[in-house]
Amino acid sequence: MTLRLLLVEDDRQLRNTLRQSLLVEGYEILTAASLSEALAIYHQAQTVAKPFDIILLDLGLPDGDGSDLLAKVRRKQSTPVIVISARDTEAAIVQLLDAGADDYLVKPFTLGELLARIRVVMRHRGNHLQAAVTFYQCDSLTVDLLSHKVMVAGSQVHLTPTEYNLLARLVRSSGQVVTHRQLLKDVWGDEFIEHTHYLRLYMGQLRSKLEMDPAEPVLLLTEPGVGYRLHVRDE
Amino acid sequence: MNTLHSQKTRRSYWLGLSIWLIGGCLIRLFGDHLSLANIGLLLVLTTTVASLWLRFSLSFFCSLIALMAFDWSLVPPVGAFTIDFHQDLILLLVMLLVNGIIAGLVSRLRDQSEKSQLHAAASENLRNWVERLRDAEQPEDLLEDLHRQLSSLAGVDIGLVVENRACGLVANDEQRQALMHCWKAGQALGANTGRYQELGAVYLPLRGRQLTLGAVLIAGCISHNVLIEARALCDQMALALERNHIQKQEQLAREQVQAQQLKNTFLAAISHDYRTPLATILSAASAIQQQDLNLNSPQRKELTQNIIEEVERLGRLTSNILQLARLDSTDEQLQANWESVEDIVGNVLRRMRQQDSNRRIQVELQKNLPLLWGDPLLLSQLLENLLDNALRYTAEGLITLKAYLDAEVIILAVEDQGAGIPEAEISRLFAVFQRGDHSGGAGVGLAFCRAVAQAHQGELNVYSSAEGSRFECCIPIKPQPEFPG
Repeated sequence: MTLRLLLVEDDRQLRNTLRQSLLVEGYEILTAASLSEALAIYHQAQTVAKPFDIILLDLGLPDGDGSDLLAKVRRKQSTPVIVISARDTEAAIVQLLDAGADDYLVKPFTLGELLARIRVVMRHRGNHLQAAVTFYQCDSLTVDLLSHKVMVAGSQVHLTPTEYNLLARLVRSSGQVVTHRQLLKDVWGDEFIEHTHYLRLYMGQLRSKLEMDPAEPVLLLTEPGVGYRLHVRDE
Repeated sequence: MNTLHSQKTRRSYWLGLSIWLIGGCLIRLFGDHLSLANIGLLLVLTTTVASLWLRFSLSFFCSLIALMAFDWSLVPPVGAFTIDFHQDLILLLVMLLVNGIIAGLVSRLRDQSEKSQLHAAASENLRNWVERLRDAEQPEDLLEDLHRQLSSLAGVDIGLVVENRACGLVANDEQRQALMHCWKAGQALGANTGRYQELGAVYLPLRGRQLTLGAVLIAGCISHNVLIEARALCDQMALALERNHIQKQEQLAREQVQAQQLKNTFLAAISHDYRTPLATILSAASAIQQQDLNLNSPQRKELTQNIIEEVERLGRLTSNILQLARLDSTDEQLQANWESVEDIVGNVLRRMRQQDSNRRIQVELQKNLPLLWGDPLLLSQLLENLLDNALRYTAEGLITLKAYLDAEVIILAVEDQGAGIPEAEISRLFAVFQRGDHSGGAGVGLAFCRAVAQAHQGELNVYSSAEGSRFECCIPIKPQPEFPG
């Protein structure tokens, strides 16, 4: 089945380059250069044509902010949205991720990075009937949420309840960035969303138990200023 | 000042009258033994000495009384105002005339001497004032002083206004309007000034050669002489204020020119730094476009890899410049949070490995480091810059990234085994647009690193020898947050 993508990007060169590359990858792609155009195309797709499978959304558009489209999409359904933005808008990225965006890419990015992000969001949201991710395997680490087991290189590792909850939250969104706020809220509770230092402590403990070289982690990755990402093997 | 003056006048009267009393007593004591002519000379002497302290009219009056007493008691017939002999009458009249002339002359002389004394005192006062103004770093600081001097000179309330400052009497609405008018027009108003004579006060501008920098309100009427003296004090103040104002303007203009020059040099350095990667990208891309059929697969791959690497370099350069501009602007705050050094180092390594295929970068990370309060993106970028420089400027040898705690400071250090940096260059290294001989964008990068360290209340140091260089960022730790039990 061909995936339908909506690419919202105001820069013509980048829009055309991405369009060409994604066409080569076999995606069906529609492009919009402004917020109003994107809203019109999205609306038309929802009512008349086939809905989109993924939306690639630039933040700074000439006639408004990409977040307006995200809000509209999130009100109706869970079409995955990947935010594309410039480097200096970490605060805006976090806001959009907390508002429901699935992942983000900072310009400049490679085609490989974009395709990997698309694959990850499709794995999580591509099929609405698919159960939540409960199994994770990458390098020597295996996590099975159903049987509550964490194995490194074949032997079981003991985690404290908080460490396990933190890891489980990352496993459920494996490959995707999870913001500090989301992690704190889901693991500790609403009143702890400002306690970023808890994450630093527990992430350090998890790395020392799960990573081969905790100083150079390859699984529990940091997204500076945004959150954490559990690395998935790129198929 | 007026009280002082009246005290002085009273003392003069008493002195003058005492002289007359002494003169009278002497004549009474020796009158019987002296001739009329001698007694007459004693009278002239008394008049002369007493005139030194008495006003002309009083002196002349005393002289007249003395002559009448002389006539009564010594000139025949004694005990009457009549005079028997013509020569005695002539003597008395001549004495009266001479006494009058002497009293007049001495009195005028004394007036002139007093005037010149006052004049000298005013000149001395002005000279001291000019010297104090000349020595003052901020003439505005002497406003209180001017207020005191004018108050003492004029004997009435004084109000002063200059830009951003006022002192002394708070003016009412009418006075404020008049003050503003005086300031704007740069002209004196009020009694003895020739303008708006009917005003109940005098307004003097603080006017320099070109600018009027304030105004003075003298809330009362003052004499012409006092007005002249007050104006002289105000003029000197105004000249000092103007001099200071012009110096400040000059300084500002100089700084603006320097800032502009810095900006131009900065832009020139940036465009130079952009050209090299752009040239690589253009040549690689045009090679792929034009020599497509002649290129084999490894060649094509190498060219595209060059393009990707140079684009990443451009990205880092752009980010450096953007963040440097942000750090330079005072109102931009750090996006700070509690960050772990392990997180930052781990993330930096992951990014740097892409250009470190030989794995020259090694890490020595102390365990259980305290958390840093800082901006993770800036700190990551700082380490990336230092590692990128080390990779770029040392062809071989290991590069070590160290992180450890030293007293209350976290040290993030990048050490290489390169040829080192010449001593003369080290001090110039951090200037925004200066690079070593090995040109290639380190200028902006290092200036950025130092700005990041300083934004975290830390510092960036460089140590270099023939065995290699060490760039060290020291960041003080803050009291740690509470952790869950």
